[in-house]
Amino acid sequence: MSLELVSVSKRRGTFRLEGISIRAEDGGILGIAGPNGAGKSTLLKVMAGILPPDSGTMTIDGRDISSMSLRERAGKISILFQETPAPFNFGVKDVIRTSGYFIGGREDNIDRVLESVGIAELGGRPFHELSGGEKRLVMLSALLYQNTKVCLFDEPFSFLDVDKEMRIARTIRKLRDEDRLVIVTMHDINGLLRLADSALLMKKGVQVAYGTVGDVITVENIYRTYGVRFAEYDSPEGRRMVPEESMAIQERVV
Amino acid sequence: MHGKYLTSLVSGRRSQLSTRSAVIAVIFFVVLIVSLSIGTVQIPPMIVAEIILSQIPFLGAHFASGFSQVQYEIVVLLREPQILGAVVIGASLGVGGAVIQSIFKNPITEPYVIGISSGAALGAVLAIAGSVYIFGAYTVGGMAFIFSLLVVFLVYFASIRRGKVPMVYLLLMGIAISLFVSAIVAFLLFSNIRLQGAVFFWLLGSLQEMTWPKVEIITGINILMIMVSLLYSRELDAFQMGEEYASSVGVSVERTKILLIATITLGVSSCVAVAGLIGFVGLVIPHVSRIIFGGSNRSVVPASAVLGSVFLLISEDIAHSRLFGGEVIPIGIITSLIGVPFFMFLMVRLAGGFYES
Repeated sequence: MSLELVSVSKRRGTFRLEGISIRAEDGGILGIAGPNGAGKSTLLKVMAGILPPDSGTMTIDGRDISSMSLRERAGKISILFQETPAPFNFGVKDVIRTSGYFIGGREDNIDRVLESVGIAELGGRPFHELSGGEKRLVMLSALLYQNTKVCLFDEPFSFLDVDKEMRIARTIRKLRDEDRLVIVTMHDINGLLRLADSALLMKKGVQVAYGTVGDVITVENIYRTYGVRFAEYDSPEGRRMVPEESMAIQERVV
Repeated sequence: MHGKYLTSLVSGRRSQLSTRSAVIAVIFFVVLIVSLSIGTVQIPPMIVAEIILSQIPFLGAHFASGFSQVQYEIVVLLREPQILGAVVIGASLGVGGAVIQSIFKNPITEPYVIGISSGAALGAVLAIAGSVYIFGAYTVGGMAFIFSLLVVFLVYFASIRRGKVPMVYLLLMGIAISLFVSAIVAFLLFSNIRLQGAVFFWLLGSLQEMTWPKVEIITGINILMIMVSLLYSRELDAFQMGEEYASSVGVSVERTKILLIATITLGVSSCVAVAGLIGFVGLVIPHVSRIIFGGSNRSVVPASAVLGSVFLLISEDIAHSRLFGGEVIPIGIITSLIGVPFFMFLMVRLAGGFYES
C-alpha cells in the first residue's frame, strides 16, 4: 500500500501550503518536523481528507481520495488530533465508540483496544475526569479502534509524562510492524531520529527536505528549517542533535 | 480477575441505567393518567384509563361501559388534546435541545437560538396586526410557522462562509437576527395596543388553544423529527468530539448539519406555532438527561423526549391547578418557575464532574 501526494497546495486564511509532494509506503514511519506555523497540522488534515486540497492530488494505492465516500476514507485513514475533544458527559467507551462510526454499531473490540494501550481500567470512567495524558491515551485507543491502514498523529507526544510518551511510541512502532503506514508530526528532532524511518522538513508551508531520516536530518537542513545551528554527536542510541548554543552553555557550566 | 471486575462494573452500570429508564417510564405513565384525571371536574384515574382503552380501535368496545358520556367528552375532547399536546411539545423541545446542543457543541444553546422563536413571534404578530385570514382558524399558527422557517433560513444563509456553516457564525447570526426580529415585534406591539392582549398569551406559551386537528399535525411532524434525531444519534456523538473529528471518522458534516437543523426547525416551529413560546425545556431537559444517563446521544435523545414530556405534563397540571388566584396560568411561566429551582437542585446535588470541569 502506498500514499502519494503530488504538488498539493492548500490555502487557509493567510496561510498557504504549497507544492507538497511525497510518497510513503506501508511498514514505515514518516516524521514531519518544522517550526510553528510550518503547516504540519494543515498537511496532516489534508492527508486525513478533512481539508480538500485546492490543487494537486492525494492518492492511496493510486486511487484519489476525493473519489472515495467518506465512510470508505474513514476505513482507510485515521488521525489523532493535537487538541483533546471535550464532549458533554461522555464515558471513555462512548468516546471510543465514535471512531467506529463508519462500521456501524459493532463494538466488540473496545475492551481489546483499551487493553492494548494498557488502560483497560479506564473503560468505565467518565472521560472528563481523566488527566490530559490519559485522555490522549483514550484518543489513541479510539484511533486503534478505527483500525485503518494509514494512521496519522499530530504532535502525539506534546505535554506528556515520559511513561505515556513511551506507551504512544511503542504503539506507533507496533502499528508499523503490522505493516501500516504511520505519519507523525513532532517538534523534537531527536525524537524523530529515534522513531521515524523517513522525514519531511517543512517551513512556512513549503517542503525543505524529504527522504530517509539519514539524508534529511542533517545540520544544514535543520539550519535551513529552523534557523538554528545544531551540532551532531553519536550516542549509544545512535546519532543525536543538539543546538550549538545550548552546547556552549553546557561547556561553560562544565 | 481484573476482567471479571470490569465486566461486573459495566453490567452494574448498565442495569443501573435500565432501572432509571424503567422508573422514568413509570413516572411518565402515572403523570399522564393523573394529568387527564385532574381539572375542574375530577375524574378517577381508573375511569380515565378505561376511557383511554375504549378509544383503541376494535378492542375499545370491551371497555366502553364504566363511564358517563360527559366524562368521556371531558377527557377525549377537552383534556386529551392539551395533554397530548404537552407530551408532543415537551418531547420536541427536549429532543430539539439535545440535537442543537450537540451540533453547536455548546451547553447553553437551545432550538430557539437559530431564530425559531423570534420568527414565529413575528409571524403571529403580523397575522393579528394585518388581520390576515389566509389559513382560516389556523392563520396565526400558520404564519408563525412560515415566519419561523423564513428566519431560520435567513440565519443559515447569512452564516455561510466559503461553502461551510461555521457553528460560531450560526450562533452569533442567530442571536443577532433574533434580536433584530424581536425589535420589529416589540415595535408592532408598541404601536398597536389591540395586539397586546391577543398576542400576550401566545408569547407566554399556552396549551389552552389545543384542539385535535392541531395535535394531529404536530404529532405527525414531530414523530418524524424524533425518529430522524434517533437515527442520527451516532453522528451527534461524533459532532460532540468536534467537526474535524466527525469528518475524520466518516461523518458528512455539512450535509448532516443542514439535515438536522432543517428537521429540528420543522418540528419545533410547528410546536411553537400552536402553543407559543414555551421556554426552558429545550435548554435544560437535555442536561437533566445527561446527568441521569450520561452524555451519549444514544440515551440523551430518547431520554430528552420522555423527560421533556413529563416536565411539560407536570407544568400543565400546575398551570391548571388554579393555585394562583383561580386562573389558568400560561404554561410558559410555569416551566421557568418550577424548572429553574429544580434544575438548580439537580446541578448542586447530582451534576459534579463534567459540569465542574
